[in-house]
Amino acid sequence: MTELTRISIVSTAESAIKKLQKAQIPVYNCKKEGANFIFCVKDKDIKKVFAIFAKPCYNICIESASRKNRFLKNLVLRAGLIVGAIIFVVVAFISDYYVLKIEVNGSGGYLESIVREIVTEEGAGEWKPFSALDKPVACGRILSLPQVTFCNIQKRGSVLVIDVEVDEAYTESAAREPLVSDVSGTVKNIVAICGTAAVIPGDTVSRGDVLIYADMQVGENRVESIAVGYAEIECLRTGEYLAPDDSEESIKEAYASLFIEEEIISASHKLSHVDGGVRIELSVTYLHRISINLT
Amino acid sequence: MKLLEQILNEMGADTLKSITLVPGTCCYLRSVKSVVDFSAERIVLAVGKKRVTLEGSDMLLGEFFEGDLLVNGDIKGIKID
Repeated sequence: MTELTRISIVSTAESAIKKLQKAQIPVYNCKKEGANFIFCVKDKDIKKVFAIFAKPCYNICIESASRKNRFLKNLVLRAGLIVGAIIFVVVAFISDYYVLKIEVNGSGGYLESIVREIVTEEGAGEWKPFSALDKPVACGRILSLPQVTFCNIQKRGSVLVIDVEVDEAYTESAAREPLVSDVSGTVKNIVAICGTAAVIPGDTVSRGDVLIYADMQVGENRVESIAVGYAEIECLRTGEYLAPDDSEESIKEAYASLFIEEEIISASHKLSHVDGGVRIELSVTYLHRISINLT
Repeated sequence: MKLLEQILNEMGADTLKSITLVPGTCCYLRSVKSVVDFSAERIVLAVGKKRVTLEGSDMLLGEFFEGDLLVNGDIKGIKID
């Protein structure tokens, strides 16, 4: 329906209609209210009507603007509010489209650092669009962590929420300490699945030295995590054994007296005859394996 | 409508100067030159050389453009002078 503006004029209906018809302006819903003649015209004819009745002897006013004009007028009057609303919508859209925060929840919360690292590598990050994250790959990588049994990545508002659940038995038994060497020797192999390796192969370590730290470097910060991994340390053990003779049996007993249960890399002995028997000097190199949080 | 127009034409009537009345609702007039008198109870119109007077209640000019006039309201009578 055409939008109509209602106009009131102090004039006789007859003369007003005559003027409007002369100007070929269609009029609608004409009625008299006391001395006023009220009529409606289309929005596009308002200027013409005011031009016709511009003479001072006519008292003309708009009684009710059309819905369209009222709407436009309201828009102008509430420009600030509308601009604010538009800004709000834009901000809401941006915050919905982008990830502003990453949260790691669930019983696997202590794996936050490694989980964050994984999702960051797969495209997620603060002020990055959610679509940039390769969700299936990130989910798969998190699930491949040894203790993780469930992983769900979803976006709640502008927060990327990662639910990580781990095996309860594992959670209860997980050690929070770093991996510390219980022997002295040379590091042959170090594998840090979680945490940070403190040594490299070839390093010499003493009893009590840290092998894997229970924290990780994320960006420029170090964040707490658990240490998961193992180390293989080459150790040397020497000893003396007094045997009645230098038979093979005696030598075997001499080696057994060292109580070495690990993989022996090399072994050597030296015999010297003493009063009442043979002194066997033993030198054994073996590979000592130490691990933390590995099942 | 075509049949009506055909009958009226054969009778020599001018359909451009017709008056259509819908009782209790409205009246549609064509070739209206001007509104001579206007009130809610009485409307006098100049149609050609004749005066058409509509009498009724709550009458108002629903639409008036290029000689076509729609009068809304309860029209009780039409008089042509």
